[in-house]
Amino acid sequence: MARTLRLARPLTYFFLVIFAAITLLPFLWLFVGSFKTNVEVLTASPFSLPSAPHWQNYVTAWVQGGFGKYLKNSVIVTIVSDFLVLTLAAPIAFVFSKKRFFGKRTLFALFTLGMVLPPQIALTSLFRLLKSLGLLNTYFALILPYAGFFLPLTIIVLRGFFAELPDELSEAATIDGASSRQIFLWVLLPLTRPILISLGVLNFVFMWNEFLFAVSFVYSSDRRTITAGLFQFVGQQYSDLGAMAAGIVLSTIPIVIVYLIFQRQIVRGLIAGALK
Amino acid sequence: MSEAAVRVAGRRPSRLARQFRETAESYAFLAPGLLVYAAFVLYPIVESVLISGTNWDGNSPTANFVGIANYIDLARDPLVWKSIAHTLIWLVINITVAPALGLAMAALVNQRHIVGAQFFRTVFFLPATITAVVIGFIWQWIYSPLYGILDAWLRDAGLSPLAVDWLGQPGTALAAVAVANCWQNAALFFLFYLAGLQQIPPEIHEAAYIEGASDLQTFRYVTFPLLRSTTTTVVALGIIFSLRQFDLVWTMTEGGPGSSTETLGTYIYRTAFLFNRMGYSAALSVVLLVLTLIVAIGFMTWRER
Repeated sequence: MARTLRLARPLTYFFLVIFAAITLLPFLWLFVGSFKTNVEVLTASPFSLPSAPHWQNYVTAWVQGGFGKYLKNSVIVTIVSDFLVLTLAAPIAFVFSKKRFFGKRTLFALFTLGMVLPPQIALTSLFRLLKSLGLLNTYFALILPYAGFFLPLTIIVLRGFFAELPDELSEAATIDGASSRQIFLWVLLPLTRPILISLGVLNFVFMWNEFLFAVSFVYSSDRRTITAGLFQFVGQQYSDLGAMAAGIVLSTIPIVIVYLIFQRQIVRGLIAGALK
Repeated sequence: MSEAAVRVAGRRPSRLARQFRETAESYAFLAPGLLVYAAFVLYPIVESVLISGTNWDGNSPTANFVGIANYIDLARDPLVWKSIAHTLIWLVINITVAPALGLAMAALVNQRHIVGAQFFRTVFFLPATITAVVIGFIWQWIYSPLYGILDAWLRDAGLSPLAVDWLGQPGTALAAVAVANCWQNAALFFLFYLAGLQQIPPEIHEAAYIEGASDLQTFRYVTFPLLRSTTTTVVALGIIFSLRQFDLVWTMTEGGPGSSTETLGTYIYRTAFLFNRMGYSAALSVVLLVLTLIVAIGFMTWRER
């Protein structure tokens, strides 16, 4: 590993521990808070531990807050959008890297544009479109915009990986009489599996965390995803701070688990995205 | 006609035919994704311009065409200028403070034989994977004058006058949200800078030290220039995040108190869904579009430097 700094060892560890503490303590503190009663949160010192773990907070969050419902909605929306994006992006990335066709550069520029533009630019018009399609407040009100807005990054990263596959592979398959469709599906696509998985996990995290569309296009608690649900719950919970903290913890746990399991895939996907 | 000319003339249609065939075939691959992209990204961007010429309220089936009335209102709306200014402040913070923090953490982790390097890497990157809504609420707790850890600390340290309502007063709210923002974005930039640092061969630093360069000189003239492509990526992301800034601000302050933390991103949402002024909101999004294009041109000019 490269030596970037010549700080004395103890000083290095000192700073590492400081940064780690600044990162972790807010989470830990909220976690501790989620076991306190409302009175304890307000009157006891913020540094104190709860007198006894107040599990009721989690019951309140789960039952009153409806976090079970939000989690279910998030899982459905995120997984469907995720598969949709990969399915739509892969063939596009394939032709962008392996085919020559009219309008290629223009189309690629249009996809790049969609990655840069803030989603707010399409907020009112997407609302109008979804309303006229009768899709407002359904899962599709999030799935379809997610599919569109997550396409560019997925295409651009995947294109880089298709481009690295040697042309001899598809040439050999062509000589054997394979069509472009067969080459794509049976020769090249299986070779991109590692990055497909990385992108799948990465998009999962991004979509799970999405907030703007989630609060704009879905308004009944039956359809709300976790970010919008948490926002709603916190707004109503100022009289029960312990339960509020429990709700925040509940909505953090799933993604932390995903992160700890798929850390390598997430990191690989992000670095690949940054290098393209 | 010479033989060669005949050959060329005879070839040309077949090459063209092949190109047409390849194009037709390619569009068959493109069609499904392009359709979704056109319907839910490209078309809405264009349609925003059309909606900005109406007074649509988001509910009624019809709307009146009002020409450039929304844009006239907008030019006279002090909040527009204020939110543009705040958006630009975010931009500056996200391309300076947050990357600097990320780079510092990456440089610490990237030293030789760090015990627990994997642990620090996992921890430092953690905030980047968590939704800004959660980050916002956690920091709301930290800043609370009633039960927050920050003010409790300040009071314990005998600095009671500093123990204020950080998010509740216009003078400190933006800075308080900015701290939370940097805390989260530094995590992502850390990862990119770590990847960048790991690509620099250690010998380069060794050489610089043998030549007698100081730490600062080595960083300034060796390390940082070698991280140029990483910095370009990080700056691009910082710009993108700033222009769409919404999640964190909305969860922590909803643009307030007053309008002290309002950004274009939150103002667009507010006018659309709280004030039901879709036409005006669409006009604001056209402003954001123009601002994005200006910043993009500026960025590309900088990148070509």
